[in-house]
Amino acid sequence: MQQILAIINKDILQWTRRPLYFISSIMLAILIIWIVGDTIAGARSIPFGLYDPAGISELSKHLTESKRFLVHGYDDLEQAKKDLTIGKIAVLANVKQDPLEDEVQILTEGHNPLVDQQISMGILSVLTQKAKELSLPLHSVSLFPVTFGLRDFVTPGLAAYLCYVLASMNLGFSWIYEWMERTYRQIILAPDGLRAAIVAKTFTVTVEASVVLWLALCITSPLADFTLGSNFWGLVIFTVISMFCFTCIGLGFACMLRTIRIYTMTVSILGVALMFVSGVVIPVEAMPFWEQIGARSLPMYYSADAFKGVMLGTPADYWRDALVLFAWGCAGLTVASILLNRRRATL
Amino acid sequence: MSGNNPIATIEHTTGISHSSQPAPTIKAVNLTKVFGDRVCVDHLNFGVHAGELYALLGDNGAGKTTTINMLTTLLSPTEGEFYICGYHGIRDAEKTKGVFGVVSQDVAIYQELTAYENLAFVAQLYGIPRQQAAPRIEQLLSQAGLSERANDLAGEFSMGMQRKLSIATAILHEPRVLFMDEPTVGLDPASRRQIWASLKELRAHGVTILLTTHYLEEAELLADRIGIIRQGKLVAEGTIDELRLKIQGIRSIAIRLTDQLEPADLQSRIDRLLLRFPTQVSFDPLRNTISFAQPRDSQLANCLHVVLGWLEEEKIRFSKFATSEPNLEEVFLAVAAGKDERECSDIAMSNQGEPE
Repeated sequence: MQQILAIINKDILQWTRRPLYFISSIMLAILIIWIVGDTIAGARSIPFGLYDPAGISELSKHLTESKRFLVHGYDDLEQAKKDLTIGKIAVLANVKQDPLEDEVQILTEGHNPLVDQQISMGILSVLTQKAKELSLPLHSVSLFPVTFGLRDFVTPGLAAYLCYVLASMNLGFSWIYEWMERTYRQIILAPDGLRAAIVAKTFTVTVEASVVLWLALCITSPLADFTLGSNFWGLVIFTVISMFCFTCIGLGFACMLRTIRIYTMTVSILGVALMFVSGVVIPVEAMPFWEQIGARSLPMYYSADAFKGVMLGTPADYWRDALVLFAWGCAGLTVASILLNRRRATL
Repeated sequence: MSGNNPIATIEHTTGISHSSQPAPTIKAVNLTKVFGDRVCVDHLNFGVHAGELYALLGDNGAGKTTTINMLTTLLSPTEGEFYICGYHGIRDAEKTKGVFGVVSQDVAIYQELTAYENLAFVAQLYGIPRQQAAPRIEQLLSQAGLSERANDLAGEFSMGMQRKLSIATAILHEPRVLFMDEPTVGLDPASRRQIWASLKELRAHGVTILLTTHYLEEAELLADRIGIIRQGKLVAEGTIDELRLKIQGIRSIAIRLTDQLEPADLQSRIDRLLLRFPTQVSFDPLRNTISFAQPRDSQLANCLHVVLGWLEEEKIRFSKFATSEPNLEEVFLAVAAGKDERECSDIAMSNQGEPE
């Protein structure tokens, strides 16, 4: 215990001497939550031209409420078309002004399929949610009606991804750095030093990375307009469990790969793959069957599931998630211990 | 020391009787390390007694660092065993760690911490209570000449200062044994001398030191005994004087001639000498210098007598006459390279420069 406390004290001292590292970690987390989250959640404030001088459709109100579109009303259809041509608006809705016709023509530039897809998705979303009010023969119904939007839904997945990035990068860099600097030799030459180093480093990285994620979520939430939910302790507990899991996995990787260069490359590439495979961007249910099996065996899937549960209130099996994350963490620690015992001389 | 009798354990294990001598503080018994099909350390047997400074010499890849790594429990031996202060190094690895300190080739100190913080960290690591640690840290900082800079970050120190701090961290817990793996490598002469002074002081305080070094001058100056390791095997061991005696043939006599002699004339004169004094002779026409290797079985005085007599008989005039003692480098090169007497003489001849 004495050794563990000594190493934790030393790590805290080093931490205070490198404030820039801490600040840049928070900035990185904010960037990912904000930019990646907004991108995945879809475009916002798309300039939308609406030709409905008589206000027959009530589209203006509903499109504005969706926040996906920034509505520009037009009284002159030709002027609206000109604006669409020069790119002032990305889409134009031409509402037939004859009450008997009940028809809306949607015009886009047509140059960019991805923009068209965003527009289609946005309009469909407005139309299905507001269908009854609009008296359209088109509407969607959900079994478990929810009060959160796509932006809210994306954030827990990103939190799980950030647990992986912050924990594994922080652990890997600090461990391999000490490895390269040979400073760990001092520790492992002390009685029970190796065990103390593993425990202390896992603890300090878990705590440091958790603090970074909480701060990043708290700072970004009001700016990017997503919910953190009301289950504060659930969020705290699953952040710590996820960080512990990824710290241990990072330690295992650090012991296997041993150089910053290979470690960074491996962990970065693996992180992107994990993000896509674990249902952070695309729902696991929408993946090919074999990918679903892979996703359900990876820790990030369970971390994301738990974060969605605590932040959004969606059904989640917390005990299963915690158990799987803990098991992965233990596996990482076991691999690290075996490798470190074999390679003490290189420390 | 633990409750069991470590000396008895060594005697039983090794079958060596130590009835008259105390058990060595460091003892390696058939210590072997094999990496793949490469034998890095090959059945190494040696002992270092309490308060002794033992220098392990060898060229790169000879197995010095691997030996230190095994003795400091960092590397498991493939075969054999070792004892530190009576503890079995493999079975009682964690207990063993408490009795030794290590100064490695790399400066293993935290650059972001101050000198004081580095030492305080190590004190806590070894479970030294704060009230005991504080005066000890002050003392070590003072000895290392770092008191003035105790609160400066170690990263701002020169290499010499960092090395001194590294030694201070290694001896903070007052180890009975100190392993030093090339501690002065890359240091300027002044810093090296300061480290040598620290080593002498430690030895004076009864610390048993095992030192590996490339600097033969260092071993010559500091070591009580020297072991020469080649391809993982201990090829020679003893005090410096003992090692010198072992390869006496590398001592030589060099004479710079005043007159230029015809090669044939010189050869015939040398032949006459060789009838009475069989030795190796070489002639350097550039320096007009003739060199004789001292045969292993002859005394220096006798050699000088014969050579001077020969010069007088042959009426050979000379401007300089010098004998060269083998320095440790020559000893090291000769033994480490596995040379026989004749080859040793060659080395002596090749090392022989201008007579002084």
